Amino acid sequence: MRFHGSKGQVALIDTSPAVVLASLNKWTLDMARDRVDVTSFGDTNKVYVQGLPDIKGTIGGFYDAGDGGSPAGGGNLELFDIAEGDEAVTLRLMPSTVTPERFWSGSAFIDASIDVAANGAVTINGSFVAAGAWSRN
Amino acid sequence: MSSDSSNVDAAIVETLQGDATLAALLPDGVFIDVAPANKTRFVIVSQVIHEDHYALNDQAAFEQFLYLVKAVARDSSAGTPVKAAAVRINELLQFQPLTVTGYDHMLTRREERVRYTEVDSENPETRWQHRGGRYAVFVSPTE
Repeated sequence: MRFHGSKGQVALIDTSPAVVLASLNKWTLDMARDRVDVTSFGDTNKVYVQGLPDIKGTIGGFYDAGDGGSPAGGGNLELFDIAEGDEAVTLRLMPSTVTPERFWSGSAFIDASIDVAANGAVTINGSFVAAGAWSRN
Repeated sequence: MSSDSSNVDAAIVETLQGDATLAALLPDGVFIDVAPANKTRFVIVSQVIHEDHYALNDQAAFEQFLYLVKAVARDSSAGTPVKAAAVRINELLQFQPLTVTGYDHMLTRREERVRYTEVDSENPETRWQHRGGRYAVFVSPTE
């Protein structure tokens, strides 16, 4: 089954219920693994050994002050609170709410940025790296 | 319940209709797309384009409209009020707040100026003056 990205979702799941970050329009997750070249004499081609995944990614969307400036009020200013703090948060990245049982989640440190231009909506971007184990459901 | 984009049309019309200065210049009123046949001094509001912008989870992030808003008047020996009316239209819309049911207003601003002269389709000796602008309106739904 294939999916359209319109039903993607980013949520913080340190609390219950999960806090869905509003007005985001994309997320990416990169799980590239380290590879070390161990090519030796006599090998007929390069040989590598594989290390651990380097979990990182991005999130992006429209700046949304919400109702009262909180995710509960539909905003996404929480992203900046997290970026300015020292604590990791637990992210849940869902490709589609059509299949809510399928997602990636884990602890992450988040950086955030904001982009304001005179000819468009105010946008935000965030990048994250793993602060603990990540899993796929 | 989703927000009704027609409320943006209505908000612009109400803003223009409610202004006494504009009404004095163009007394025949404000109309969407087409004025009645017997009118000679009026405002036209017409949607040129519209775009929906979405966020994840099928969330409507904001809507972007482009409206043609112009003063229209038939030439007379006393001239036409379109110059002053276009200025007044701009004063009412350009960077001004707009109250729209079901939406938070983000921005209204002129993207292009509009000015042209039209030959009357029935009497080629008669001219119609059009002056105004294409205005971008950005709103985000509250519902």
